[in-house]
Amino acid sequence: MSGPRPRAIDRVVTADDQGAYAAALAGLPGMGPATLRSILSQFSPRQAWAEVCRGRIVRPAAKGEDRPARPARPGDSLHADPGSAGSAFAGAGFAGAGGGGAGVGGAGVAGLGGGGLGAAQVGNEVSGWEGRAGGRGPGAERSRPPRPWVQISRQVDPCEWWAPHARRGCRVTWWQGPDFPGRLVDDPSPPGVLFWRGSIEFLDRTCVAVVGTRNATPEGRASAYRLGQDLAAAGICVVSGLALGIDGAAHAGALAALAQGAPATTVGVAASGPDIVYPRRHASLWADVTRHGAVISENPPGRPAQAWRFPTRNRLIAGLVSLVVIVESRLRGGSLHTAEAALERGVEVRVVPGSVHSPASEGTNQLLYDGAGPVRDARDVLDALGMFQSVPPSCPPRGPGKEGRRVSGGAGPTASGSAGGAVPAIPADDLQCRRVLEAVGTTPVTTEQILIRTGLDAAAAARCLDRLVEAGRLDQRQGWWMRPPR
Amino acid sequence: MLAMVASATLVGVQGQAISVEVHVSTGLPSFSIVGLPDASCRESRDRVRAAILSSGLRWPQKRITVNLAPTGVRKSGAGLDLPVAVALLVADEQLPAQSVEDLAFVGELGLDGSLRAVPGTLALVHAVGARAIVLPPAAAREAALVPGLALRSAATLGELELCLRGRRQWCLPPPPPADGGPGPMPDLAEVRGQPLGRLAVEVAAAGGHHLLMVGPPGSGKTMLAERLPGVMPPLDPAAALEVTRIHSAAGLPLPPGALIRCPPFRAPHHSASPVSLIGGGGPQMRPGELSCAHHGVLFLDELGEFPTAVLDTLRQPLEEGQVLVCRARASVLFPARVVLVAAMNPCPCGAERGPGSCRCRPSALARYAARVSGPLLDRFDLRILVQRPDVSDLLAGPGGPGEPTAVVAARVTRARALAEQRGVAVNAAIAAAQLDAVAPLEAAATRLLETRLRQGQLSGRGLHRVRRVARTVADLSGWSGSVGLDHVRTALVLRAPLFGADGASWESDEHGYGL
Repeated sequence: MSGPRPRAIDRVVTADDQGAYAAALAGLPGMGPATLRSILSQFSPRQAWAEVCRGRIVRPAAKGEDRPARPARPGDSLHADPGSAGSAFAGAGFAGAGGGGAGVGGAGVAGLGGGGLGAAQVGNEVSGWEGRAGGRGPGAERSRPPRPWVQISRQVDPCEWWAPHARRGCRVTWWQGPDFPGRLVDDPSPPGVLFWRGSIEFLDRTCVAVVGTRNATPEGRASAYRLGQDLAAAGICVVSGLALGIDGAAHAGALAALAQGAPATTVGVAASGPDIVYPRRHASLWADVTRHGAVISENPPGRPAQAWRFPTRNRLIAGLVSLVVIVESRLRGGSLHTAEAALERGVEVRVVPGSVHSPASEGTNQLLYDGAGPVRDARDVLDALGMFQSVPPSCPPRGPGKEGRRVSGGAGPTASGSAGGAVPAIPADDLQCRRVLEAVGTTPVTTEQILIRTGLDAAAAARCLDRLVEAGRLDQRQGWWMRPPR
Repeated sequence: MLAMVASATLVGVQGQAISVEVHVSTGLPSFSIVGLPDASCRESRDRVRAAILSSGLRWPQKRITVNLAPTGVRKSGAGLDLPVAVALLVADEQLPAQSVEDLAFVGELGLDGSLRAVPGTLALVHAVGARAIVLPPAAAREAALVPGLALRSAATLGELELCLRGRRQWCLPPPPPADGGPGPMPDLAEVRGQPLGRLAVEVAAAGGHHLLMVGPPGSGKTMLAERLPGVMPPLDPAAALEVTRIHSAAGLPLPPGALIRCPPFRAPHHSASPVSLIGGGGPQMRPGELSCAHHGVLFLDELGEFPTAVLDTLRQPLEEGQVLVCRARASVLFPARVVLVAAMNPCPCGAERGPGSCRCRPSALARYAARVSGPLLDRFDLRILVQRPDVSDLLAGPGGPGEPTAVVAARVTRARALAEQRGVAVNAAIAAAQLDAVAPLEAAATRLLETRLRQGQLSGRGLHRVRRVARTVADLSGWSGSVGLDHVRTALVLRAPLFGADGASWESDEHGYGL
């Protein structure tokens, strides 16, 4: 372990305590990754906290989240003067600050008696606390200057604040601390403090990020699902962002591989605290990812997701993995941030090509044009990683045998319609069915378009559609007909 | 002296017979109206006084009390002006009492003494319990629709007084206009390249099924909806009279012949309030758009923009075909048997070309889909996606105009005749218990529906609805035997799983992760 050089004050402090101090530092309002890193490069967490208590490390003056904190100088204590920073208690809170998030932040302070409460409880406590502070309504929060760190730090005992979070399975480490992911140590902008729930050691394996748009097409979701499943089956840790759409499908795929007995894992990188589920619809996915892998975040527990944290989260994803696969992205999609961050770090970016007509693939196709390599399935990813041996049997073989590619087992989430029972085949001489299948093509079409393209009447078209669905050759989603993704 | 004259007032779409009693006695000159008059009714004092004076008659400088019986019913509107004036003249002995015996009066008075028509004439005429009725000339044609009632009309109060004294002939009621049939309607032949939309309109017309069209702006949803009334068979005499009565009560303009013969088409804007759709409001209880579309089409364009609360008020009336509007003072039953046609965009940006293909955020999509509640979505027997036809598809497809309305309407009439032979008005109204008798399924069709039920692609209620639509599809093809596999398949194609209806959405994947 390459911790900071032990100093006199550290000798009585355990590593767990150091974690608590690191967590408390990360929870200070206005503490950004760069500030935190700059502080932790000079002090151990315990020492840094002591410096904050003494008023020698103060909050960077402006809203600059990324401005490094100046090392403490004698005159600095003036800046910590409550008078100069606004009214005494009128601060955004602890841990939830940085923009309207005072709700949870206050918990740290108010929670001197009960840190680690549920978000709702915390909110109540905070409002009580702020009521005492001068009866300002919640609307006044934004305009209120944050409380100086020195005030917060004198009220908070980091170990006491952290203990309930630790009991609920939250873990923490800091730059150069124990368990800090090796890949992030040399990152150009590593997180100062890293929180997680679950088992972070999976990050020591080969990690691949599978990310993409939230508003994904069924094909995109199926690609992500299959990639997640096959990569996890090959022993790769699938890293993604736990978002709707592609991210969720990739995690779900990796978890499905686990259900099939593969030593698979998946790690979700969250933009909120590791205990704040976002989006809510993914509550059970979060729970399963936490159980079988880890949810990591550089935000302390209780901090809600905020828009500006997502690009920051994306850089963390890029920093954790050996390869980034983008399944679908729009022209201004957040996944392109991930691609950019990956390129800064020399991490290879590959994309799943999409139709030139699909807006969901505009961003990925642009990356393809710009020179990113294409990925058809997990085999291509494993080839790119040089892992030729570990291609899982479920991965379709390459070669001329086209029919052989239709893998029946472990179908993706879209193939539910045809699952179970004998699948009736379409007779070769059923010309109407063939016409309908041709009319569907590769992009989703409406029933009306099928009628127009085939010239069939509704009854005949309905008969063909019904047969094709039975045979698993067509799917209907939200009224649109499409070929089920391979 | 006392005088009593028969009249009627409007409550909802029904008339209520009213007896107007006027008492003129010595005392300080005054005029008071009792018996629950509303504001418009109370104002009649000033109109009656001016009309009597302008007609060269005398206004008695006495104590005048007007009572509107039964006193428990709220009276509204200016239709009681004329009976009040006539009763006053009788009470003041300017008119002999015998002259108004067995006559009812309905009409509004102008300050110059002219007689004006009031809304709801048809219902009022229905309600009065008299041998003959005196009406403004403008209302005579409408009143003539009620058989077995002698009509009298006069243009002004002065003229009326002369007629009642027998010094002048009553105005002759206008001759019934030549029945020109329904006026020009938009023709289905103008719809090109929309085979499924045309089929849906045909099935909706034949079976009275509610239709939801989802498609981007400019895909012809409104065009299709406007052509639905033309495809529907013309109203039978009873229905025509009922529709005319509702439109008259709502104060809507009537056709030249007064009788509405073609199914009405009502398209309220999405800023409509619940009361404007359902009916009610004020003592008069005006019929809402839903009732105005009775026996016709209620078209809700931009369904997603209607407030959810407004849409959900439609749910029960759509099921029952009528709506009971209850207020503290009155409960009114409005007829509301409509074919509901709704149109909406697939997503807020309106540019969807398949799942995941537009730029809307997932949360925005979910919000948009949630605007139409599941129960309402379930009431649409027909749900189709409409697209702007591709240029290439239009060029490649069969050229020329589609079938004209007349051809389709003939098929629809035939199909409706089959339904009537079975004893149901329209197939959409087949009771669930009757389905097995009226729309028995062939074995293969039963198997297909069982499969869909098992796969969760069809709900229990959806099953009944598909069976009704399949019955209509069979009727349209002239087949009145058991419902076959192809009919059920067509019905299923016409009921696309939109917005997560019938549990067939992406959101309910088997992993339970809510991907």
